Amino acid sequence: MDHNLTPEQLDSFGREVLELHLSVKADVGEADVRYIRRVITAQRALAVLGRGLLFASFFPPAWVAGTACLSLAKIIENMEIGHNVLHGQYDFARAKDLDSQTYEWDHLCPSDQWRHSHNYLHHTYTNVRGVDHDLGYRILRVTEEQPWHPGHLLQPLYAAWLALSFQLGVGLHDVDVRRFIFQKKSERDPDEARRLREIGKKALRQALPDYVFFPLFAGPHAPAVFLGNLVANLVRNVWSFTVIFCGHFPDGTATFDPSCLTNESTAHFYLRQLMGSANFEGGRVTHFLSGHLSHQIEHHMFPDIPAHRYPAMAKRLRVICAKYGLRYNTGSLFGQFKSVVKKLFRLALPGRHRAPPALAAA
Amino acid sequence: MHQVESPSRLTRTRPSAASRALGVIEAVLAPLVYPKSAEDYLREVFPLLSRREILAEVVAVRPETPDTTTLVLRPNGLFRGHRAGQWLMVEAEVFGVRRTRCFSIASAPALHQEKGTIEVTIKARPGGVVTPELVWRQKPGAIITISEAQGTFVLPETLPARPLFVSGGSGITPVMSMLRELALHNQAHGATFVYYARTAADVVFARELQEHALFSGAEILVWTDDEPSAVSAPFGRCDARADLSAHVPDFAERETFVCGPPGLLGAMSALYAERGASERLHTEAFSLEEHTSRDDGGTEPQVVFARAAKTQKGSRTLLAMAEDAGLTPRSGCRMGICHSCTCRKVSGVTRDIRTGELSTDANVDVRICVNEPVGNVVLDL
Ligand SMILES: Cc1cc2nc3c(=O)[nH]c(=O)nc-3n(C[C@H](O)[C@H](O)[C@H](O)COP(=O)(O)OP(=O)(O)OC[C@H]3O[C@@H](n4cnc5c(N)ncnc54)[C@H](O)[C@@H]3O)c2cc1C
Ligand code: FES
Repeated sequence: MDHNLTPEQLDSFGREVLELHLSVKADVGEADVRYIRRVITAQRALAVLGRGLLFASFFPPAWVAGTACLSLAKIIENMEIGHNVLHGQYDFARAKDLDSQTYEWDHLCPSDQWRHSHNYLHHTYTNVRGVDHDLGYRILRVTEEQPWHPGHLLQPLYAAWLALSFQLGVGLHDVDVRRFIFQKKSERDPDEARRLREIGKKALRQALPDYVFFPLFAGPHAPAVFLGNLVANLVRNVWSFTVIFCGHFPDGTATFDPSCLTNESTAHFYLRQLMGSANFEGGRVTHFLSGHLSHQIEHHMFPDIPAHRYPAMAKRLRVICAKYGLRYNTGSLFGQFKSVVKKLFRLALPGRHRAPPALAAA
Repeated sequence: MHQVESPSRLTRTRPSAASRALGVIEAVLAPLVYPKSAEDYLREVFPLLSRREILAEVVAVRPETPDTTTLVLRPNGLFRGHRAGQWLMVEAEVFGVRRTRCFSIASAPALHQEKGTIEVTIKARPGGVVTPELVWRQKPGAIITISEAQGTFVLPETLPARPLFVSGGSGITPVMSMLRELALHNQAHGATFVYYARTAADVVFARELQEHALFSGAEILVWTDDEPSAVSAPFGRCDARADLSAHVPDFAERETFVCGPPGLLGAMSALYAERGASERLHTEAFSLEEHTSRDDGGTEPQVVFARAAKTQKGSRTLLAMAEDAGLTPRSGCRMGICHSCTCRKVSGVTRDIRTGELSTDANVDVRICVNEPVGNVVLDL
């Protein structure tokens, strides 16, 4: 891993980050529970309002407002509530409705598969090549260390498709679909088959209200309701895609060789998460709608802390990073996303991706 | 220690019409709100509504003494009533964390039948986590989760002729429920109610006891350590043996219900055993005495908490050891009756500290609050 810290400096960096981590953890409590409950209530209200407005879609502004409310409700459920609750950020409350082990989110990836592929694999092995399937979702080449093959020529198209169907892409990333399809039935891993069946079942149950039941209830407005639901799902997919891709793929994020995992210290873990993640800037609304994954760095270093605390933690973390001369990768949402798109195009071709000089030096 | 009735053995009554109607509404809405439940949405508007959890609204908060408060609860339709003397679990949110504790129902079953409310009377424990919150900071209007009523320390169906109730401190609650029930049915005549409190100001339900003495025909004897209170004619230090011999000479012939601190329970058990009247003595304890294991002379036992990847040496209860190791497992009564703390034992031998019974099987559920390790134990915690 590329950094200029002496072992002693690394050690004391680790201690300072740990101190930050523990001090916030000790403060987590009543205010966080109140916060997330308020968010949940607001999210439910938005969902009901959105569905209601869509029923009035003979009046075009109602269609627009309804679709917007529903998109927001879907985004908030996945990002600020579901993703964070499933991380166990609110497990301390020991409340049944906030329990990471029993929460079922509105995402086609069943919660228990998510806890394995995301909480465990992705968060433990962040950006470790060959282990972290979020690194390109098995189809994209997002770092030059990944070997090129001709299939990558079409990767801008794959990426666009992934953006529109992001739930599916993320839901399936614990399954090697290509291998699975071409395998003989007898060779298939029964556990993988079971996981696929579960995803299929959940996907169906999740699709039915949006594409069958609510349109049916709307009678003559069925097409408008169907379309509103479709758009809301697409908006959620594109937004989550944007947020997640800005989290680990902008210029300056490092990827790692599996060898760096042997006997990894806490300090090294923090450092690897710092180097492998990137933030983007924005106002409170942007942070909120990203489920505070605009603070991907803090999220990866402190995944068990309620995410709404990341902006405050970021201030303290940046001071620590500056002190040790470590790069804290952040930029505007547009700038970070642009660098991801550029990279996707460049790495569709064989060879290296040259980062802008300023970054290469950092 | 009384025999515990597990909740599954309680008789199941038929669901009420309201609950069935709610079931239909939920089933219709379920496909629309998947993967949430309709209840999740409905509860935002009707906070007591549930088909899964017994929820109760705190309708009133009534201070009783400087450190004791009565909460009047109105449970939803899932609560199936109680018998005089039973207790329930209360799940309260304290500083954002849900915690479960057991409390006896102090009100009479008749109150629930008539008004739909139940009352718990809670004393703040110094240094306690939950009780100070409930006693001093609980606000009316809050919604809390409770359990069904449970326990077999109850007033028998066929009322005993001249029951004797003996209690101390906060242990007054289950026997108060019995006295109230008797009085509401005009059956308190001939009953004797003995109560020990530290000071006159600590006498819970002082006014009501006075009224019982005057109007319901029950004999009320209250002892306090300092001076006689309004209701306590005699006074002096708690000495159940002397007091009963002097003031209730026929105690050994009477069905006796006792609840209070371990010292009182111990004295009463010894006294009744001596008189050969143990089968007439019914007791309820609020706590076990702090337990440290007998020393077997062998190597120190060790517990591995598998999920947390932590190991703890020692010979306290598994629950205490888990807490020592920095874990926060669920617990409630901490005396083996509520099953809140049940947890899977992966391997190893444990001993029940109440009965001495050994559990040697692998992959069984144990109540960690009343089991200690014998040798090496692995828990799925
Ligand atoms: C069947 C039953 C009925 C009860 N009825 C009543 C009632 O009507 N009114 C009332 O005021 N109280 C009642 N209690 C006692 C009440 O449950 C405890 O006082 C309460 O759990 C203390 O909670 P806390 O959070 O304030 O203290 P905690 O913070 O839990 O306790 C402080 C210390 O005591 C230990 N501890 C916790 N709970 C217990 C316990 N039950 N016994 C011994 N040590 C414990 C903890 O390990 C800790 O070290 C009853 C208990 C039982 C089991
Ligand atoms: S805490 Fe109640 S049985 Fe263990």
